[in-house]
Amino acid sequence: MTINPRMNTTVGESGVYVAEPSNISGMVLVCGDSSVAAGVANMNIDQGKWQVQLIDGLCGNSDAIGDAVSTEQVDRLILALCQGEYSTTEVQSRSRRAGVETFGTQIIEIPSHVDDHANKAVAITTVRGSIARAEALISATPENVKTTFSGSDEKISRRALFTIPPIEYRPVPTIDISVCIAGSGCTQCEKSCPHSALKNVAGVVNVDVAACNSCGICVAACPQRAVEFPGYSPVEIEHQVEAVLATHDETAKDIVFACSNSKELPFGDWQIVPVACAAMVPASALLAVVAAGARSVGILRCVEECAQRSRETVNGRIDYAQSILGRAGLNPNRVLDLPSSDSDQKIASPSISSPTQRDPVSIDIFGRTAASNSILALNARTHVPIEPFVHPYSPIAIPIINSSTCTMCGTCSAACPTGALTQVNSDEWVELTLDAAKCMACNECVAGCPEISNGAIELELRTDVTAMTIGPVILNSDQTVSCDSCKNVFTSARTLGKLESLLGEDYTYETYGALCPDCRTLN
Amino acid sequence: MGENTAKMADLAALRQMSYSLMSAVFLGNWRDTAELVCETAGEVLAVSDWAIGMSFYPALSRFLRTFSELDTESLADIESRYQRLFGPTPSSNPVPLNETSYLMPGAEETGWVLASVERHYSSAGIESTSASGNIPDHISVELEFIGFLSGCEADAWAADDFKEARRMQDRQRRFLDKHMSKWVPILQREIVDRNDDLFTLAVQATHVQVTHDLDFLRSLQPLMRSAT
Repeated sequence: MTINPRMNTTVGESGVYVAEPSNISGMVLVCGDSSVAAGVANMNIDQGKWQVQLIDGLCGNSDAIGDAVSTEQVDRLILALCQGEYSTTEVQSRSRRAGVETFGTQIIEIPSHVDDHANKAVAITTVRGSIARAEALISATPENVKTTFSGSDEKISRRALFTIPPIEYRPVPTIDISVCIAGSGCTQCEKSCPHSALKNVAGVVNVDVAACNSCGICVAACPQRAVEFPGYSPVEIEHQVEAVLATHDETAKDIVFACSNSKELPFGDWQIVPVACAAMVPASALLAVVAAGARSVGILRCVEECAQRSRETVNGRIDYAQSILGRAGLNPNRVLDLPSSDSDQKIASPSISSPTQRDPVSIDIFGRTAASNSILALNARTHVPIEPFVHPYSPIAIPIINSSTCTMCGTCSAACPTGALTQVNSDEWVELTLDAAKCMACNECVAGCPEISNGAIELELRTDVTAMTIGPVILNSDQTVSCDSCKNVFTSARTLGKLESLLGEDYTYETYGALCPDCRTLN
Repeated sequence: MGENTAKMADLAALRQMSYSLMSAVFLGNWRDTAELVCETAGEVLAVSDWAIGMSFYPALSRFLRTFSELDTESLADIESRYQRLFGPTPSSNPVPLNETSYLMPGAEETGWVLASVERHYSSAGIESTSASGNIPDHISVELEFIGFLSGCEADAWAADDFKEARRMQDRQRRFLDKHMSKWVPILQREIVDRNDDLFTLAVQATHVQVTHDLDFLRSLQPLMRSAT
């Protein structure tokens, strides 16, 4: 897992908006009406940074938040509430007024009625995970904050607008330009956005705040982990999952990635990891969690047809993850689809027996190698060979080169955002190589190929563990062409041949084949 | 329980005060205005606590508190700090405080930026003068202008003139969108790199305020338009 570089400094690229980890001060407020309140309030946590307070009737009294944190500076707040009757907008507003960071408040549900040991342990594990997530929170820059007004869909009178309507702040992504490779032509975030809010303009990704729907799908699409999305950033989600799975008891077996808009949360042993949208959960997240020892992992959606039009994508990823589990000799039902329901019936955790052995975990959910790492980790755990298979939602793929039509022009390797395809020149040969472990099935190589109409390249959505482990292999090679003047290699023999066939009688070796473009210009 | 009862007029008035104060901070006339700026910072801080739940408030309150609590020694030093950062001293590499330096380095386009800001000023019925020695795209002039528009909006709300308030919001939104939001973030990075804590606080508060206000006014626009 990559450490968030912004956590290590107070003066970052975007200015002084960043808290040092050692400066984070957090508070957990527990509703005293919960049956597990006392157990959570007495949990053993890092007292230097975090305090736990038990407040009777907290669920129905958001004023208590301000009272509780008024005595000292608190920038991260976890509210453990037992009754789902609070207003999230109101609670967040109260938190901000108490000095908590804009996206520094998490609300977690704890049991209200059932009083047994298991539930108390589950709640404590949940709090531990939330604390880990809060400590990894990327502080929002001004550009990460989008203002929305509650009830803005309804008609409102002019008189009412003399008062500021209730505000809810939502995160919007910003791009860490120090790692973004949009300048090399990557358009993964742009292509993934269902609202066309991101655009690669001359190598710089522009975010249209007004169009952004705060779904976070771009976070999962970015091979560079360059999308910063406070509240739902990769590092926050990964820290939470790691903290939960590091709990060596029976309470951390089942993890569910839950859409922030889902109405009904599951109960039982489920550990809830909030995500902005179910579609921001890549298949690698599902596989990595199982590989790390979880009994099961689920995705909880908001509604069947969400605003992100993500139903098919989520279905496809779940089906892919189940296919991998089945091929690895595990029960495919350890990956579950938890459709949202408006009914009062809560979703029970699955009845699956599974290994409970866990190693210290380092979860890699997002980024260029997350998919291959998670599959290899799963393979290493089960020792069951996963046979190669093709799946339409495979997060990894194998580019197939037609060596008779490929001109070795290098466009595919230049377009590859992950470095899976590389073209290396030596004095006499140019070689196109593939490191399958780095491929993330983005299709940029195919989209960029000038010989696509001749079938020079196609992407096979094949998961091939052997290919992922053997390292770079040569897909195609050709003789190089060097400049007669400067002696530098400047193209391949096939590219030159293609040029000759295109230009016909206009082609002469002296004009196009003897000198590189630089020397040609000088001459 | 804790409903938001803050008025649009209060928010516009707070914007007016904040922008005017920020304008004074970047004007560079510290010998004459230092005490007044600090005093005003304290006064604005005292009347702004209702905005504590808004996303711009932490940066604004840090700026106001720090400037309101400056001691005599710091006040005496602030002029030279300003000159070190922004002044045309031969030994230093000053941070430019005008929009053109960030957006349009070419000579031809300089005129375009200046003409554009002048057009915003004149359409609001005001004219920039050279009395202050600052050009129209200087940060202080632009802040003073956006503060002026905020003040007009506050007056309109106070006079129950919804249409005029909306018109003033539109003017602010357009100016923030076309000009300040484009270059203040870059200015902010430039100043942060110089490690001057006071002016870093000031430019961060400006950056946060500009970004917030543009986003706020954009989000509010559909409500204002459709209000009956």
